[in-house]
Amino acid sequence: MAFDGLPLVVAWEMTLACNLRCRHCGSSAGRPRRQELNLDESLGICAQFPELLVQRVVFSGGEPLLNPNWVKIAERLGSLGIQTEMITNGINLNPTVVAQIRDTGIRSIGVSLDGMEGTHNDIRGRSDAFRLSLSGMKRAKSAGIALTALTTVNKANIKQLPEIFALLASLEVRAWQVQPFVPFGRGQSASDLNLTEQEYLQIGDFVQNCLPLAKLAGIQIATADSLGYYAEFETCPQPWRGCSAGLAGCAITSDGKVKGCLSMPDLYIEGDLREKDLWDIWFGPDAFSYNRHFSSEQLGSYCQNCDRAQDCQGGCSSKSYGLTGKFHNDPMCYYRLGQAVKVAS
Amino acid sequence: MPPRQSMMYVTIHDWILERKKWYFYLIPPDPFGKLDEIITAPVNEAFFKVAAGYMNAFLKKGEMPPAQIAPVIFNMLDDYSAGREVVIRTGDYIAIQSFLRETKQSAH
Repeated sequence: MAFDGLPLVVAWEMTLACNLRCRHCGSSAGRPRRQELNLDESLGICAQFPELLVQRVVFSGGEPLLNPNWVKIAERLGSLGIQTEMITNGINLNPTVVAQIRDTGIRSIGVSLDGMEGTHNDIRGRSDAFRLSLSGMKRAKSAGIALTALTTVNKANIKQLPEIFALLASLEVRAWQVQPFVPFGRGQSASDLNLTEQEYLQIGDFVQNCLPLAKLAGIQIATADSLGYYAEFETCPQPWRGCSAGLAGCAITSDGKVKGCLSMPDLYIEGDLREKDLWDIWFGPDAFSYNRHFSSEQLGSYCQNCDRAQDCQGGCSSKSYGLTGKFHNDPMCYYRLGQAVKVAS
Repeated sequence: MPPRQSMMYVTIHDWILERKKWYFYLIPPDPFGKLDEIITAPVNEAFFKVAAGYMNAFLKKGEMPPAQIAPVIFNMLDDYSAGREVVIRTGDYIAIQSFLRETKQSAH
């Protein structure tokens, strides 16, 4: 049977340029890609979204605010009735930019916060990063833009999670995405940030314990990158049905390449929007085969004996590939590690 | 009454909706929950023109739609004849859009 999924959610790397050089950055962001999409090309891509019933586009990067065309692209998406959001490091959230975000109809932004001041600045490689991000978040909040904070948990900040939560509660963020550090890109050179299995489980314990307080504070906690799948966290409505890359969403790089997810390696580029329409790439016969043609024989050694494997299909594809060079083979699965601890005790 | 564009909707498969919620990494949680409520999408004008054209041709002149999309058009006619909103399943929507694209390409 022909594939009949649709890319309801599209993550769009506005540029790979970035004003920071974060130690953990999976995209190794800094300089723009060669030949990034220009405004006409970007608007041409926007025009292809409605026939694929795209509902939501998330601007990412690099730092998306460094793309000089982001306002016009956001306006075009708004005119097409597509909900747009943005993930930013918050450095450039000055009054003008915050007003532009609000005026283009972006209702929600995600700002990275990777620790309390010293730790955040150390990871981000800039001594005023924390101060600027925080004032940007406050400014956005005052402008009526909903805030999500994103924390990549690593060895340097894991002990600060309670403090970060208290800070976010004081900022009245709506949601907090907690995701474990995975050594992709520049993060491969930051081995001092790697989490042990024990620390990985501690993140889950923290989230579980924090949920009642988060509810009181009106903060929705979300866990990502296989953290909590099948651990019966309230953050993860059951059942988790496996990686959605190429099934319900896809990603576009700043030079017009299509992948299942921005953190997938370039080896898994499915097509080039300068050569083909998104429709033809999405419905290509071999597109996204790592997810569309999954069979249990593909499960790697970490997942093949798991009682959840048929549904889960090996967790987050990018994480699995990044850590083992194989899909469907997640060595840092919260469920598996938790089961091992239960058996041992 | 002829078919109207406002009567046509695409319903999105449950399995896609379910997975969409899990499209994690670089997608922040949606604090408004709006996305979860969208389970139907209106069709665009080009789609409507083609679909309604074939529906009318069958109803008024008994003309068969092209073989590639005939089952889809008949599904839509079932809804229409019963006086219901025309609800198009995701696969049927994709079939008509693909047909539209092929027709456009062969015309060039």
